[in-house]
Amino acid sequence: MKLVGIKYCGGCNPKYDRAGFVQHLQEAFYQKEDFCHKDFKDQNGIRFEYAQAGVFYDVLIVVNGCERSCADTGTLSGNYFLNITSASELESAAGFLKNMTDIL
Amino acid sequence: MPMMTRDQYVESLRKLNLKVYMFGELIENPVDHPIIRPSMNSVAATYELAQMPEYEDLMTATSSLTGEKINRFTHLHQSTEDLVKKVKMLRLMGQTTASCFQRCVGLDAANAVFSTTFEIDKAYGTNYHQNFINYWKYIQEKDYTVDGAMTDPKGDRGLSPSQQADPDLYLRVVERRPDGIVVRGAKAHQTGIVNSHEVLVMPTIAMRPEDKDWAISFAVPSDTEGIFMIYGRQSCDTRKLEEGADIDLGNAQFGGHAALVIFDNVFVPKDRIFLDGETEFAGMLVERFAGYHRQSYGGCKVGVGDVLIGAAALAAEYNGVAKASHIKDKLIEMIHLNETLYSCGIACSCEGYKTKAGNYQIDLLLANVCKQNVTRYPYEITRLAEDIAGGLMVTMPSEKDFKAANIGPYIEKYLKGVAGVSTENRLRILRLIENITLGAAAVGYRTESMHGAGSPQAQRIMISRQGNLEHKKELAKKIAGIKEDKN
Repeated sequence: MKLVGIKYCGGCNPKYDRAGFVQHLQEAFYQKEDFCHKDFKDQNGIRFEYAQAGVFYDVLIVVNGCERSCADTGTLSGNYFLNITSASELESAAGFLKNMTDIL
Repeated sequence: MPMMTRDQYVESLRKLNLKVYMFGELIENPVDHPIIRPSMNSVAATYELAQMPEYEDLMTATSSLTGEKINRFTHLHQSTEDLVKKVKMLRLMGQTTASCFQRCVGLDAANAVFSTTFEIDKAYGTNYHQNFINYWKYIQEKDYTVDGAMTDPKGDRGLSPSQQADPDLYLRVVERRPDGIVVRGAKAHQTGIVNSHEVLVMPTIAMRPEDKDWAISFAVPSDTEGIFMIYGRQSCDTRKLEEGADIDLGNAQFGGHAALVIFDNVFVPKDRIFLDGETEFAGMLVERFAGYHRQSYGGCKVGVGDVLIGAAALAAEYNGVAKASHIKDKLIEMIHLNETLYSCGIACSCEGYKTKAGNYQIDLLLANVCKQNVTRYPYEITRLAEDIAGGLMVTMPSEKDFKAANIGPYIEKYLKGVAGVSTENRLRILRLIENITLGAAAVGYRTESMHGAGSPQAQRIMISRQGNLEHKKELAKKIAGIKEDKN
């Protein structure tokens, strides 16, 4: 089981729907009938959760609303930090996660 | 309780015994009153967003007093980054509510009182700073909303507090007891007071030694005996009383409010006093609060501006003129003006500095420039929004007419815009523009932009003081090769 932490920036002036991005990202891993954006659950060898201090993540996905990338990750720790700044990074992020979790 | 949820906040308000008057009557249940409720929803959003992972980076902070995670609206700024995050948070809240969400004023008051009390204690050996720390820990732990109350009615503006014919025109101490003081007076334009658990009072101007009884700062619960509020009217406010009102409100969910607050012989316990007679510090407190609040406008008004610009762009689309070059240019101008305001808010935050007490203060010159621009640009943004929206915004029939079986179909037919957009949606976006430019939200977006946090001349005085004109003259002399001995 790979643990993936989701960390958002504050969202003052985002250039895309950050929560929608995370939802689409999860859809790549969850069966539609199992999908639940708000209450994450284990699926296909991966577990998403909102990142919190004191937990070590296999992957931390830092979802910034723009290139400023101001999300505060100072208290977070993990093997890989995936910094997202636009909706166009969805495919590459999903691909990265799939490789990470050996699903493919 | 580390942070309240939205529902907990609403329930906590129900427990208050506020005395609120509107239209000559005491309001029995302010929380559910249709005119007040939208403003309460705006404050409630500050609690709601703080619970959401998508926003917690801006909406929460770590308390410098307790180490706990707190709502940023109760935070004492610990860095310039905190100051920047505050502006971003206010922009986010403006975007979310398209209204004045009222909670910034307590945040600004707290940071000003925190740093000023430290310096008063150093000068006088008083205990105000510790009083305030104890008080603010309580506020952070309870996650309360605090009304920062500064503006006195002021009577004859040409006279000092002690010279007024009626001494109560500036809030003052009328009795000193061993256990505290009794105060009397009023505070005008109190944003959010009806949605606040506490009121933090500050003096409104710099004072002279003879104004000792008026140099007072303290905090009390907003339902303390002797306090009552008279709710301020807003343009189109009674539309909220119309049965089933929705489209005609423009913004059915959110709003803002201000009220006249009377302090009719209110007792303040000793440990809730933060300034009492140290007149030379009244000016410092006013200047610091005003500085923070002028920074605030570089965030909140920008967020509301974002909504208005979006509404104008949609109106253009719904009217079928989105591709017209002058429309595009007007939208660009609106964005330019709005982002200029934001730039000022960010700039005065980045150039902030650490106070002697340890919290961070904004750059006063840049904050005053920020607010000076706020007294102008929202007016131009609203003018452009009205230009783009067209006259229908103020001539279209009511929601009741639109929904009436006999005449509704005619409205549907004749007020239709482009294909693919319903008439109802066209009316909705025009009503939102009306709401912000001349309806209930215009109180916050227009006139509050002019006078809130100080009228334009107050900023010009500060710009004059902070502008460092002598340095500029020296620069000019050097470039021009001027030698004083040749005069």
